[in-house]
Amino acid sequence: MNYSEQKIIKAFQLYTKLARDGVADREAVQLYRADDEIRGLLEMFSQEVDAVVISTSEQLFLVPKTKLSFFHVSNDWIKKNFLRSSSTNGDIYLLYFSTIILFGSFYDTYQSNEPTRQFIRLDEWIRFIQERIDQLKSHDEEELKEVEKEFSYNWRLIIEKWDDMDDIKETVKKQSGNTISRLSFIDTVKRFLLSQQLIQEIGNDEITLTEKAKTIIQRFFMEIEYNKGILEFIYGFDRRDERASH
Amino acid sequence: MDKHELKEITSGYRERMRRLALFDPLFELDRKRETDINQNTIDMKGLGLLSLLFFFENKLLRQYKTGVKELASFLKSLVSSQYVLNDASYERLARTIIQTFRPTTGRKRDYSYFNWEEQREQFIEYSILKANAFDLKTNTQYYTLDEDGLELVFATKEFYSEFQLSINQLMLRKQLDKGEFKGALRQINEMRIDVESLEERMNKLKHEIQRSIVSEETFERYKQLLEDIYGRLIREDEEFKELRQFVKETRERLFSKDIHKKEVKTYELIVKITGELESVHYDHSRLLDKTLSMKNTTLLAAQESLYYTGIQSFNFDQDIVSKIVSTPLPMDAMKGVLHPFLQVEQNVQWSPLTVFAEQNISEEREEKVEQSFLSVLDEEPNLPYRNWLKAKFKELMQYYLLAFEEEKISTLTQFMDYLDRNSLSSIYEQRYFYDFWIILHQRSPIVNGELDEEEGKTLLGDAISLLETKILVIQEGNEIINRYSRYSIQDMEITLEEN
Repeated sequence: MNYSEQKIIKAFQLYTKLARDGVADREAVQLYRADDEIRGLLEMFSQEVDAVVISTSEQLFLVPKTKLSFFHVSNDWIKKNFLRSSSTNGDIYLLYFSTIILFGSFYDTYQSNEPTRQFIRLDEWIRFIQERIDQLKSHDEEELKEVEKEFSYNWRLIIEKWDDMDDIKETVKKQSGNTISRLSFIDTVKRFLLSQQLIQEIGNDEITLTEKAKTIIQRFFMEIEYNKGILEFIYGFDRRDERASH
Repeated sequence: MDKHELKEITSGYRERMRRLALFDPLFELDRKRETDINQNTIDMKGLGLLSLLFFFENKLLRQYKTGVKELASFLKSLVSSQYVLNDASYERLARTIIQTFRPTTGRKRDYSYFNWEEQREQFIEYSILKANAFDLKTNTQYYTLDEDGLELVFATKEFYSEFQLSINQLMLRKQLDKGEFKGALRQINEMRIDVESLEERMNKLKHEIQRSIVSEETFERYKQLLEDIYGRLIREDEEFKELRQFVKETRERLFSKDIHKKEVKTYELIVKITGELESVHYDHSRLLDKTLSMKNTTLLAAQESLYYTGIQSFNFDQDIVSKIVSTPLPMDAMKGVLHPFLQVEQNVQWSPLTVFAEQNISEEREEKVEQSFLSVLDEEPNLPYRNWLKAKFKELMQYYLLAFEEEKISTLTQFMDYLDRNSLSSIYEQRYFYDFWIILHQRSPIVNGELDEEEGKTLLGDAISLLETKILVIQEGNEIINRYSRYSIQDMEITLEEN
């Protein structure tokens, strides 16, 4: 298909904005919706970088799609900006783990598309993580070790990290920042998510999801293309096949 | 009875149950056994309802900082004649009530029942109180009534919130008719809440539509809903216009009868009513705009997403969290799940071309240019004033030197005390007193002759020459002195040394 130069430039401008900020405003939405060619171009561009454009009537989001997209923030970036200088990949994985559990606690029913809770307290969040860690522990240690070696999984690292921490450090007054405790770790995760505009603080140690988080959960994870075997799609990984080939 | 009639009976069953469900927290409070010091049972249900009304009233007054403390003190002032309780228990009661309306688990209150219309088990979720704001310093949370809370308050008044605005409009008209202007003002404030909560609901609806239209069916439902809302808003808007006209006429009538001279208060009220009504009406008509744009853009955009979104329900906890934990999947799977939420990475690069770029050239100066407070070197030929000021400055310096000799004063406060004792307080009621010290402070340390103040030519020259060989050093003190209501100045440490 032949595009006019003007269209290509327009689409590219839009793409640049998305690539820079990850989000574009209403004007962009209108352009995106009104012009098939620009939309087509934009979708092509984003496909090339393994990202997806999600549009609502107010905003356009550019969302990194799979493991290959170079739009993913790197581990180093997270470490540098949010974690302690001595932190390892284990900390980052624990941060991921906690975040996924947080989302899960808001969306834990098939009954409705809306979140089932309005807010969550930090201590409850910690309790949920504990539950899941316990569940992980119920796997046979030997088996975990086995899979670990095979696919370089690191579940035991997460379990260890979590178990090593006290619930709170009783000797310090402020449970945030640099003391090593679950509460202060969760505080770190909280700050990370706040900076990503995924959660919002409402005081009294309670947090709630932002519109951005809800939009992405509902529009990305519920999109049929991604939803069929969602993990396999995202990870591009079918475990049984891998195993069989070994 | 034939089948058809049965259907009639059960229609709208869910809505009816929903209204019943709203009362649930009040009965839950009723079941709590609370007693006061004399073992009298406390009427918790009543207090619950009163708390709702308290929150309603605060919403009415647009007083949004209402937390546990405020509620406790309200309860105290209300029931202290009835029960004997200490302050701590009031706070505990307030907390219990708030937690009943807004469970600390974060889940909405829910109510399960059997829906006889659809012949299946169902549950209703509702939220009565919600967090409104918080104070980081004291970690205090403030609350306000949520949509269902308002509904509950109205439900105890025999009408339901969707008619609330129209009813208020009707009542306003009646009150204006009867000349009850005070009540009318309150009525308008209630209308404001209606409009606000309507706006909130529209926002929620908007987000809902943006996120989650999953089928043609829900699309139709939203469309219908928006059309209903639009129709209702149009009706209300017309009523608003008529009301405005009515208020205007009432006002003119009062004006013509010269009431504005005889009954100033009444007239003031009606002027206020006019203003408030206009502002509520303005807010309301903005909603009208909003609905229209929602119908035209949001809904259409959502319809488009119909092609993409396909599933009816999705359970993050089951579909993702459980899967990751129970399989267990590799770490990278977790990364993949989370990445859509995170911002895109930006790499900032340094361009070698900047080597040739224009450079910022800033002048190198030996001394910073002083920021002057009051330009004493001004050559304004405003001579009489300058001469007067010069004389005053000299006078001040004399007083100071005298005070220093007599009492070794070393701060500005002490100097002012000295002036007080010598009944010269009027001096520091003058502006030049403050100018004098500020200028001296800026120039400290002050050595006679070193500043380019030649005797007789500039404002401070005369004063400084009095120092002779001494050095005057002035440093800031801690407190702000506010002896005379018009001026305040920071305290200064004044020392006089021999050169």
